[in-house]
Amino acid sequence: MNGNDLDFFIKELWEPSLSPNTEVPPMLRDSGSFVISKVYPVELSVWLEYGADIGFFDKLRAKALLKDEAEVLALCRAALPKELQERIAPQRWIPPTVNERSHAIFRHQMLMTSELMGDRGANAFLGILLAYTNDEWADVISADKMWLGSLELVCGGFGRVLAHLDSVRSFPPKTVEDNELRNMLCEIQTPRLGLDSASRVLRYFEFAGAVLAQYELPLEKIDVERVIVREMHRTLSGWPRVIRTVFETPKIDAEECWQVFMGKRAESRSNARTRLKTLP
Amino acid sequence: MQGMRRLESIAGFYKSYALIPESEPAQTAIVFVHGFAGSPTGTWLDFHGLTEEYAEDYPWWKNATLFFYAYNSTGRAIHVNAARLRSFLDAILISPAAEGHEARLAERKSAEGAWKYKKLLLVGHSEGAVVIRRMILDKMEALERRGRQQAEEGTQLVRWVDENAVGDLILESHVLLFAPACAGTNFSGVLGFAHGVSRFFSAIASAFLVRNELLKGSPILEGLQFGTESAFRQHPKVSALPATILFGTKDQVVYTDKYACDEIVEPYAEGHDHFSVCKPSYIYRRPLEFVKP
Repeated sequence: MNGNDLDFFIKELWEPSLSPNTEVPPMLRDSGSFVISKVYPVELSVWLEYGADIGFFDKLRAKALLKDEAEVLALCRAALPKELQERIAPQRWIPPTVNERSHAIFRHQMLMTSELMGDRGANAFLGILLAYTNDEWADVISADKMWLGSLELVCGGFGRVLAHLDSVRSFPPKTVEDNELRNMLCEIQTPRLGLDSASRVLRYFEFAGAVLAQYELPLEKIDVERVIVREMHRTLSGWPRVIRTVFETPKIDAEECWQVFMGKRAESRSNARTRLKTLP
Repeated sequence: MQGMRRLESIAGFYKSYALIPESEPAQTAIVFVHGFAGSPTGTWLDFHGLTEEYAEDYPWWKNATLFFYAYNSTGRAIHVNAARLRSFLDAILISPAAEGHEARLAERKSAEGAWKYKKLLLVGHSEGAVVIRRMILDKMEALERRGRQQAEEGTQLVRWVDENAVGDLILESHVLLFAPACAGTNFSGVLGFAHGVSRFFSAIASAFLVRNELLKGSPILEGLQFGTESAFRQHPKVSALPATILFGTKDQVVYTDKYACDEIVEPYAEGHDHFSVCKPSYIYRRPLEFVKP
């Protein structure tokens, strides 16, 4: 443990999440800011507690920080839908045997989170994913509906979120304790990423189908759609989890994902025949 | 296991950071530059932890400060990113307290003794490799311009550039590249991207300009190759011009090629694709061996 790591956390993660985010474009402010200014601060308070528990952060300073910001955090928490309030909370846990590897794992996951949440597109995608009603969501992915946001920005963010999921999943645990810690840290992020809800997970596949409907795939497409869905399914269903009774782990059925992907692709495509582009 | 390095953000360079060893001052700086749609931590995955854990096996990592550089790889031109990388290197490598710092920055030249480190490794992945090489060539061209301004020509100019390159940490750096995009990318190779599905969507959303710059035969890539090879022929002692390269056997995203002055190390990383080639793990330690002064 050293004080610099807490300073880094405060500067790169904590303070940006508690300051109003002017980076989010106006048309996305409702959705993007929901994640960055409501969900994320509450989640970061859990990171702070866990980091102090394993000795990565200075315990006294972490506690003081939580105390100083208690009022703001309470407001953020109160603004969350009820199910999110329950899901983003420190769980009762026994910190695993702590060693330097534990600290390396914590540092790595913290950096990954910082990078993802510093990305405008990722915030936009996660905001839409979490906050939009079904009708609003349909406007985003339907080619025949007017929508004031930027699909390009959201698509870039979608790519960033998938990259994040894949990198976290690929991070190599060495021991059972490592694995447990990594899973706990993933569990903190699960609500923000929409991975605790089957309908949100299916939105990932709907979005991919709708985006790909805008493009003509080259000859090798015979396999490409299946490869994309298979890779996405592997990434999303492989997200590390801690098995607990409070949460229902959504069943992510590959066939259903495929149907949703292709359904949205066909629907969007028939509505967008005149706008087909060629893949880069 | 070596003690953990401490984390520090880099002022003025959003999401870039340093990992600084306990045993300050470090002798070596290792700068990591991610590729297209990558990120500093996601691209290099566990270089952070494994260099600490295996410090006994790979001792050159012990006394090194690691810098992870972040930049807009999908929306900014290569030349713009190269200039910004240069500013980043100035910010982290040159001691601000050194006499004449501002003047040297203005001249884009650093006097010997002003550098914070003795050795520099520049490590790039994919587009990051192109950005590094463009930055080095820009520096060589700037040096040559300064030589001309001092009325040097012909062999005199070559000698002047060689003399002035000595002691410049960046021009004396070692360049190590994972799956460089220097010979061009194959963005239409959808299947190659589909296995790195996140990049596939990032590519769709990226600026046409950046994608086009990275296509085989683009003026940016051709100019860079011609310029680097010519500079190396004239200045073979400038160690930053040639690169050492590692490709994976399953790369379907970039053309597996090199400049005349480069070396591709063998064997190729068996079973690794464009994205996994630069990510060390417990069973794939090759990247830890490859990045070596």
